[in-house]
Amino acid sequence: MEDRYSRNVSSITEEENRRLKSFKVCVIGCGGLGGYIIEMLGRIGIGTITAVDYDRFEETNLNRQILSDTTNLGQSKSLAALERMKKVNPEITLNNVDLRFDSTSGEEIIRGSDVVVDALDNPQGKRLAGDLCAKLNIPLVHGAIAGWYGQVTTVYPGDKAMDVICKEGTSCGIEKELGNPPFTPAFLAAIQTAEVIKILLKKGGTLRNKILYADLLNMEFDIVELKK
Amino acid sequence: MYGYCGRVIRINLTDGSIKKEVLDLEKAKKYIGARGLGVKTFIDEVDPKVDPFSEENKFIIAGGPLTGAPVPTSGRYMVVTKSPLTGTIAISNSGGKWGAEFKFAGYDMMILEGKAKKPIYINIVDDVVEIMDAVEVWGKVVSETTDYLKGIHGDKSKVLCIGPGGEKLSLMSAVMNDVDRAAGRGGVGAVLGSKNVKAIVVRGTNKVALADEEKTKKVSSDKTGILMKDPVAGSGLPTYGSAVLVNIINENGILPVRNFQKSYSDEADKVSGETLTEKYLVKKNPCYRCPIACGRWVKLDDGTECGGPEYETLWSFGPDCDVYDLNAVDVANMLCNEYGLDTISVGATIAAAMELYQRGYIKDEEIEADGVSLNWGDAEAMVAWTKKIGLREGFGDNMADGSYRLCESYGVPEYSMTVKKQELPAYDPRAVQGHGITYAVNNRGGCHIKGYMISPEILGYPEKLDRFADEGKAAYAKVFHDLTAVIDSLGLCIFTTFGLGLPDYVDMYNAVVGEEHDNESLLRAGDRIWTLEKLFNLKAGLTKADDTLPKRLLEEPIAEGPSKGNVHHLKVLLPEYYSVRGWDENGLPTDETLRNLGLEEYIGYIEK
Amino acid sequence: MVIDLKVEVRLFATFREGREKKYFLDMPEGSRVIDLLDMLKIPAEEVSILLLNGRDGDAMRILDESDVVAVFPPVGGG
Repeated sequence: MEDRYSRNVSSITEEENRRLKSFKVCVIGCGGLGGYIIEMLGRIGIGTITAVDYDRFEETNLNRQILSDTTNLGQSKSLAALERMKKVNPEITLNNVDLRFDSTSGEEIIRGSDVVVDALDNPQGKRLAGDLCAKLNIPLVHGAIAGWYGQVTTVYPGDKAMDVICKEGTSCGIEKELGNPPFTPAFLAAIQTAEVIKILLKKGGTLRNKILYADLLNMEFDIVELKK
Repeated sequence: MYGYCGRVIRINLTDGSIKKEVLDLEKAKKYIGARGLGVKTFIDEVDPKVDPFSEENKFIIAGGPLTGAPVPTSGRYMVVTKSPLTGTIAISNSGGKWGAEFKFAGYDMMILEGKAKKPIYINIVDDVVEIMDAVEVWGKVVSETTDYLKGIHGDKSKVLCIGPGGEKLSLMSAVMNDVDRAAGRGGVGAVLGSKNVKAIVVRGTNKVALADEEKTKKVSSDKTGILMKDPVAGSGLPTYGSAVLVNIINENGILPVRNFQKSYSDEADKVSGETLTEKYLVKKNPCYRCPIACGRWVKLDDGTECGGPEYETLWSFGPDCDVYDLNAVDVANMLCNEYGLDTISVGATIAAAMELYQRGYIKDEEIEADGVSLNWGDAEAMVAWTKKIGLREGFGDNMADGSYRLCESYGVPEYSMTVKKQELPAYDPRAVQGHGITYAVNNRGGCHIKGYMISPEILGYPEKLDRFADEGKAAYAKVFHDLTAVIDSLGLCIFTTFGLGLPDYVDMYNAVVGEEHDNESLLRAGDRIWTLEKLFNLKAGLTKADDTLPKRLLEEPIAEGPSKGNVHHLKVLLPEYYSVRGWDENGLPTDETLRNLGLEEYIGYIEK
Repeated sequence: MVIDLKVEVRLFATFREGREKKYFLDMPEGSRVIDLLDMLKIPAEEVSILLLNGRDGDAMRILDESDVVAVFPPVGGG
């Protein structure tokens, strides 16, 4: 057992740790949620991470986007993910995709992934992720944040959660008014990451057919059951 | 990912849509990049029987994983399409600076589909890709086009374009970049012309990501050191350019004169590299990150400064036409750069026309209106015909589609020194057996550079072979073909083979992209690419009969000079080549060969 | 005779501002979900997710006894 992963054990077993190297996870978005998710997936030892983001860092990202710092403003976010992982865990493969996730590029971007993580910052993209994952039979871990609040759910092919969460015509959310303090993405990203590991290792209980709703202002955490 | 950018531009010229797609990284790595990636993408998307000038033909440009990386000669890119000249896959390679800039903008490949309704050009600045109206530049020669577009988009932009040659659909037209660099062969310029695409301008501000920066630095430094110490790469080529070959090839008695009627000339030195350096050279003109700097920048007698000629060009406008006026050759070269034409095919076509005239097929009446002769050695005429071909003027229009169609129109295609309708370059294969195999089997038609057996058989790289001997040549040629496919697909220059070997390319790939290849796996990828090209050609309708040489080279011995008395032994060497390739007697790759190369999906692709 | 239905309403995120997070309300029979929202002064267009007993709900749906209505504003950031 390499020292690098020894503290993963025995929250996951040694054998489970080895298996993580064989998986491919696609993280769509390298911003608030995505940066933390990539950091954790890389550290725990996911073999291949596809990091997708067409955007470049701006000063307004510095309050919360862990991949951003004063030396890489203006730089590609997906490239920053590559450079970060090189230092944190060069054993894993990070495929940086400097493209907008849209109906032209989307299918090819997620094809072959074992899990897709929704770290997008817009409803259209999130809806598309849901549609394409359903089409390609890939489990999706949806996450969204706004202000002190956030939500996570895990969607397996055939589940209807995304129909509920991301209806047609939903424009931007309350994050536009509330902003994005740094603790919210960190908290929700951790939950999304744990969901990913549980899906891959078929371990524990996930948020399938449930929505975890977090309110960090009032310290209330609700898990709402979605009935079929 | 490292080396690769991960992004592909797809433009549908018919509806004007521009899409950015993610690179299929697995596919890219399996076929390396540039040539291999372009060919695989092309065969996946286009019916090999497609009409090259139809909207269904696609035009692909691709850089390799090393293009734009900080390793020596990393400026190269590939054009892949269906050749209107040969009907085979076209794989035209070019250097200069455009390819690296394309990678800096963040792209591995661009696919052009359909046809624009009116002349357009494409402008790329990093993430921004736009289609622009080309009304101001359509019709302009290459240098004017380049100056105009740089005037609009900035001096740091790199310009790829066609000249009047491609606009007028000459089957010998080239895709030019950086003014005097050419993706020359196969009529690829005409494919862009048929799509109404005048130019592609690119400006990129990123760097190619490296798997191991320290290692890349060291590897690059080591390989550059080897090249600088090599007598050809480090001395001959930088000093004289590829023109250094004129005297060498002539002294071996394999310099084709008068359309391959003779193989030696007393006057070769007048158009040699030594003379070029002494009388016309202004400075070296290197490509991106190239320490070899074979490129020439010359000054003509009339004071014009322009790109200078390669060896093949000196031959085709020189001895092949029995011309020994070096300024005239320089002028013809400059005209080809300006009109966007392949110098090998143009010079060889003029030579073929001169032979047709010599033999009475072309009559005086036919060329009277042009007022230009077709006499051997007439330097002024050679220059005049070059211009007329570029503009499709007068009898030049008859010549603009190459020597095969010209000779065929008189009922004597055997006077066209071509293979698969593409003009043979500047080496008489009758006395260089291995090189003749390359000519005959080359997937893109008569060409020297996709398996330059001149290296071992004449120059002694990596070892000296007996050029007259047959033994072992087929197997040796296969290795050269595969290694060339590797280098073309990495995005590096073939001239690095003067000094570097397979392990050196493995080192560079592994440092830039990541530890993925060993000697065997990288060379096998080259074999895979070559074989895929062969499958394309078979599907397009080519057969064993097309893997041949002109009758003259098979049956008529060299008349005089140091290589007197030789013919090419293709009859023996072709079956041997097919055999070492693992192809059946008709040149069809066997199922076992396809499996060994990871090409199982193509089992049954060609009906037996 | 007007029968009142007892329904539970759960509010999330910004809907909790100036309100409770949970209400137990008596609604006249025949009321629809949208009437509930009106009563709580929640504009229907501000609601992104509306769950009725854990299932995707329609604001025009007529309420039943013991219905649990959960409303969420759009949360779309990442």
